[in-house]
Amino acid sequence: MKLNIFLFLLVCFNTYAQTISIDYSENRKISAEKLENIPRFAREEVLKPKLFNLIYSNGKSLYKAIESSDDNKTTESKKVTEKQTDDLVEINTVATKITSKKSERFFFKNYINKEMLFVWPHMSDNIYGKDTIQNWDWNIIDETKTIEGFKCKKAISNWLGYDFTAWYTEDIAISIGPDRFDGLPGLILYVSTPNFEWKVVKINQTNNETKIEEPNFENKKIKTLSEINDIFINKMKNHTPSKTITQDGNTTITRENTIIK
Amino acid sequence: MVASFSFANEKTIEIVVENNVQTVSIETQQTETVFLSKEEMLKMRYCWTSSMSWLTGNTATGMDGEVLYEVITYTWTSCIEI
Repeated sequence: MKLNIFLFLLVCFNTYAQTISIDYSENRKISAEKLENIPRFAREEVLKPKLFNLIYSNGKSLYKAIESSDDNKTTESKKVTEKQTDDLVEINTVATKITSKKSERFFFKNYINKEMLFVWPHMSDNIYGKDTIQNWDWNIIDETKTIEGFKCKKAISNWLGYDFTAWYTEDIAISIGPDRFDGLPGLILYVSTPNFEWKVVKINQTNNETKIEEPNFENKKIKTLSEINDIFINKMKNHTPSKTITQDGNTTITRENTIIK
Repeated sequence: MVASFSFANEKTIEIVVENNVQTVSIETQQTETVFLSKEEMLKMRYCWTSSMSWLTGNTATGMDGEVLYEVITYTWTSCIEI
């Protein structure tokens, strides 16, 4: 079975000379309980889908965020309340600010030499990565459904200890998918984890070839996906909210830095 | 009698009581006006709390799609007595 898939992929990559462009929506899956732990002002932003594009041509692909009019915009709101007792006037101003950043995450894959280069944002930094095309060891399940008019088959994988479910179509016989995902005998249209989902929103195929430039990571400190996984796990385990209090005249200024998930 | 609280710039507040001007350092930009009698005003304590919560757009994502978001909260608290 594995040899058959290999031969199938070999045929796919050698014969698929045109360009295929696929838009995916990335959505957070969040339980009502988890949503309650997120500050009210941030909930809409956290749940907002993000659009990415995957382009493939001539053995290379690039998956990156699509420009949006919301990119790098900051929206602010303010609410003022006043309370007066016999000997005290209190004025409280509660302001919120949301910066919507365009994701700098991308995956460049070269299926000819089986390598990928990627950027993985980590708070205010970008981690630069290089790795081999991953071995997903997909297990194809005997289930089908239709996604965006394409008959899809189900596959599951456990990669780095996480469970993934993918739906792919053999109607577009090319072994690519969103983000890190690939390695199935057809285009991956949908991937999900318990926390996240990637789903196709648009597919466009042309007969022209597109030159996909390899990013230059010269002088960058490079990590593998497995190393980035360790960095994230440590961040989850070891993060403690920081709080600093300073006094400026009769004004007390408190600055708190927290992580919400 | 009117006490007028207004901000001269981003860091100072002017409190005008008749012709007396007091300046209090405070890092907020709100403008408020409070109407009181002179006697009431003199015995009062005035406090301001301003908070600003900022979803910075900085995130960290786990391999299973778990996302962490950075939130910075500033709180300024000031009180004065006239």
